[in-house]
Amino acid sequence: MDEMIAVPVVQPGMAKLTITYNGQQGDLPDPVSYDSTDADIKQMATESIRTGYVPGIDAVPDCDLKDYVIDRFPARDDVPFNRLSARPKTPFGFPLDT
Amino acid sequence: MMETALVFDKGGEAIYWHEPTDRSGAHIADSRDLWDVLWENRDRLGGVAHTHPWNGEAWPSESDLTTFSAVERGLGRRFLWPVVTMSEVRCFVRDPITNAYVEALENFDVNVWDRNMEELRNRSRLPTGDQHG
Repeated sequence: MDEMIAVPVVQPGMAKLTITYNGQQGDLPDPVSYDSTDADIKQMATESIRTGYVPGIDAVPDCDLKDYVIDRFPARDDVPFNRLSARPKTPFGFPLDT
Repeated sequence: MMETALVFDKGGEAIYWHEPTDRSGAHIADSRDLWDVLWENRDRLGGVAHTHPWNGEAWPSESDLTTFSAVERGLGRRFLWPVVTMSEVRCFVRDPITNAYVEALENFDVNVWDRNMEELRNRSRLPTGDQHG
């Protein structure tokens, strides 16, 4: 039997994007650049949810990721690929910069 | 005084006291840990109360309102958002027609709710570490 070679799904420099919206959570089928800006990632996520492109998240035509934040998790030994997460912000009170 | 938050269930019982070490008297920063608590408890979640630790009227800030809205879009339903000062509690919910946050009455067991609101005030008086309820 031929030796099986593991092929990483997410190449170095790319990342798996997990999105949480409308009580559902799913991963974008295509890896995205880990260095993408937050704005670009949110735009990709918004369009993907609007068109129903994210497995696990039903299409929401008026999806709005305003006030979402992007968490970045670099690859590590037990999770050997970069990860991004789009989730709602959670601060309260009066920010010092406003 | 330190702003402090309480994640509570549909009966008003405490799930999690949010007391990050970097909070201040006027602000609780964005927190992945808090989001993880909200997501993990989404099926029993009733809302999140937080303090404005001074005496006076309890109204949400602009930052509060955008957090309420973002969390509800993320979790796919409405919650109760009490704002607690040392002298007052006002609860807010999103009007499903206008999407504006309006005052609402909670209907929890008064003993449970009053105890949790007083505990939230007490935890706003002294900085401590995060604790699950």
